[in-house]
Amino acid sequence: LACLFLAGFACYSCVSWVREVLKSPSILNEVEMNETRYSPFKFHLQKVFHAGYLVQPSSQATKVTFHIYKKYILAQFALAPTILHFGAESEWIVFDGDPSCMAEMSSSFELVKNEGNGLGLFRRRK
Amino acid sequence: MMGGIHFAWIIPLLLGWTVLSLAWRSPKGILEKMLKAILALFLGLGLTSALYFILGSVKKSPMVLFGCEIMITCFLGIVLFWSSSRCRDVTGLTKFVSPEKCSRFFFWTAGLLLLLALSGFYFLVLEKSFGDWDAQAIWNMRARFLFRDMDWMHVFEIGAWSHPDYPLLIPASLARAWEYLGYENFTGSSVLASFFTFGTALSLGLALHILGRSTGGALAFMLLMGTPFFMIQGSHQEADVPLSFCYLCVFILLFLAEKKALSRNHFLTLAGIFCGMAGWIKNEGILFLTTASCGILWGSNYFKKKEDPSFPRISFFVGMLPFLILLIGFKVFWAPANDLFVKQSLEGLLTQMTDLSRYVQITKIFAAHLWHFGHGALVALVLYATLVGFSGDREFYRSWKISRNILMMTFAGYFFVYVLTPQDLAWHLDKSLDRLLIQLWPSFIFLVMMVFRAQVSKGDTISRRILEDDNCIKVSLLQKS
Repeated sequence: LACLFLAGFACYSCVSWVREVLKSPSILNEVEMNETRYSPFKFHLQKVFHAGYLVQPSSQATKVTFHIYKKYILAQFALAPTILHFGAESEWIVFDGDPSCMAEMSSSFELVKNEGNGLGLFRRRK
Repeated sequence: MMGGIHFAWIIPLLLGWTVLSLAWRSPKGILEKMLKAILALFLGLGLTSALYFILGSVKKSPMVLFGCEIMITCFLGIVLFWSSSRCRDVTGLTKFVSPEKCSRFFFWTAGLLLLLALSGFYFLVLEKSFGDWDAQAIWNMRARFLFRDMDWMHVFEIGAWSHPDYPLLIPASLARAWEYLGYENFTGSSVLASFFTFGTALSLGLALHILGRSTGGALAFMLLMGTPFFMIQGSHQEADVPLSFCYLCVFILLFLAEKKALSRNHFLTLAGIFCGMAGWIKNEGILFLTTASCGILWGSNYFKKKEDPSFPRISFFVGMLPFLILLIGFKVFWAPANDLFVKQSLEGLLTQMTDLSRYVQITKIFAAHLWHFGHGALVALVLYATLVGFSGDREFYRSWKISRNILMMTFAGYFFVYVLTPQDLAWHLDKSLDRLLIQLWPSFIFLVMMVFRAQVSKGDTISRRILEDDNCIKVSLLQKS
């Protein structure tokens, strides 16, 4: 009886989680999307060990929310082994923010690659 | 290079099989061979990942890595061949016993459940081929650094959010597979995740079967397949599942060590290797390594009876040594300090240790999580154990006591990590407690099934008799020699 009880519980539990998995709507694979978005930058960052990451022009203070943090990690995942740091101290900057702010960025940085939708790769002017 | 991917799995399997064979010569029966093969692949992955890290750190090319792996495997194969021609095999455990009626029913139910779980797992993997949050931020990210970067030591410069101090078994195994393939492919990480998840469940069931608990083995397998969090964590490529697998392997080998009196020191060495490997998977493994060492030192008192063969605890520590050296080297020379310790001052630690409210809060949350664990799986297991009762069987009681002590000490260790954490306690418990429980879950099921058992089925009796017969042969061999 005890064995049947445990087996019954296990079967019920297994069927439940599998049903739940099959029922859940398939979500968009964000990682795959980011891989495609960032792939044009890889060529330029091949020999770059450290780069900056901004979601707003450097003049504005950025509060790192969970959403921004998630975007940053996805960018880091796509661009490894280049290490991304929040801020504009590095020579190379990955910008992923409001498209209207890109012009402001261009005052001190040269736009190397513009992928649209506010995603761009900048390099500090010499 | 497409054929190279096969070598990425075959070489670890051969290497692990050879190392295991030095102790566990010729397994009898298909189930015992399966258990050995699963353990061999896991051990092989651990050994090749260590080799990949060592050669990578001195910047050797991938060809050197392939050459070294093949040379080591061949060398161990020759040693095995030479030693097996000198001594008679005494380490086979059981002949395959066809499961009896009672256990056959559970056996087939477990098979059906496996198919069902595989389909669910496949969907989960398809949805998150790059793994979940931790897998992306830590394990797969690190694998990319190892594979893409010629000077990959600067992986340790990454921010604390990615835990650069974490050991490298999983990232190095994945990066190594990509080296063989010639490019990055996340099917490799999904295959690895499937192996760790289903390997744990199969090892659990098979080990219980060959230790004479056929019904318990099938039930344990089903229970693990029916633990949603375990399966989901496994498909999300989290390191907690391989770590739980490693803990389980240590306990299985401890039980085999008690059963096989003549080759006890060999099995203890293997248990030591797996114990060291736990530290190479994740930081929690280092805690396990410590508690297992204490458990072995303490537990050797159980073997002091005159009629027993000796308990060579030194073998356990010898086995642990290679991974321990690697781990110390990694922590001292490469990895930055752990964020839990960096953020903490001695005064802060003392304050937290003497704060009773923290203990109360942790106990409450532990109790709540244990109650809901696996949608009631823990409660169901406890209920089952209460219904069937303690077997009173003293067959494995010493290895059971040692394993129980290790598991309890590890559990207590996890509790104290929360007492000392510099993070916000509620947040830290909420984010990690279930994952820590998952690490201990397969081992807990194994230990429960070993001592709480229903009526002994005919199949179980036959298995046990064969085990006893095997032991009689060995004892007589020992007396003759």
